[in-house]
Amino acid sequence: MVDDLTIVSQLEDLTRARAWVGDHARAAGMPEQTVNELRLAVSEAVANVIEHGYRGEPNHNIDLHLAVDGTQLVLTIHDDGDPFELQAYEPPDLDQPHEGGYGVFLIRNLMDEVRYESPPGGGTTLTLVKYYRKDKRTDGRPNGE
Amino acid sequence: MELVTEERDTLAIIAPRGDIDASTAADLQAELDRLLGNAVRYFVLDLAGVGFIDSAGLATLVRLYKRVRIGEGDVRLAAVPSQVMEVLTLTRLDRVFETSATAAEAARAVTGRE
Repeated sequence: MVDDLTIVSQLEDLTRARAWVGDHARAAGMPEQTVNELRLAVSEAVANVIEHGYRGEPNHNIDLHLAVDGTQLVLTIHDDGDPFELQAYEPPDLDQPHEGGYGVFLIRNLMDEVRYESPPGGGTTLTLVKYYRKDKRTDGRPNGE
Repeated sequence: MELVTEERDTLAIIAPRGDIDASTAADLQAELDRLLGNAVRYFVLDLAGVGFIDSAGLATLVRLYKRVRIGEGDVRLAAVPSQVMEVLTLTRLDRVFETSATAAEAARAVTGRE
């Protein structure tokens, strides 16, 4: 199963992105905890694109592509904003509470694979992969029906 | 996200309903700033109605924690849903924030009236 969603670079669209990923993850039979992990990862990734990639400017497109094959969910997020500076990323010191800096840390900890790429056409493509086993209680049917 | 706040002298019980994310955390921050300006020192965040929290929501909680702990105040979380607890645990903020099963218990604990 594959699907696409294009949102615009405004924080109000975070809800749309989360709901879209969450609905697909539930329909694929993922346990609720895994669904929540995906919702959080996409929310953090899209918020980073809006706040840093597009510097808070509205009306830029963010393209999401999702593929589910029964064992893994692959989500790509493409934007044409400033590239993510992977070398500049430093994980937070978890022995102290911080007022920021948890976003990328959460993405990396919640996903099984995280890749940043700069495709030839420009922009940044972030690929998130989550492996899963179907929740036997739902057997792929949403809401346990 | 909707916010319901109950103020009792220096104690406030804030009950957000909905998602606390990068688009709504500023509303929660504004309410916390208003309460701090009203000399509230003890804060209970009743999270029973919160379906989702992200790093922006965490940042708001940590900011409040740091501000109240400068003085004699305190903050406590109540009725923490599983998604929120998972994020707190991943970031080890579960070691920072005290929690209670209900807002009433948290209110007694945070003001030292247990």
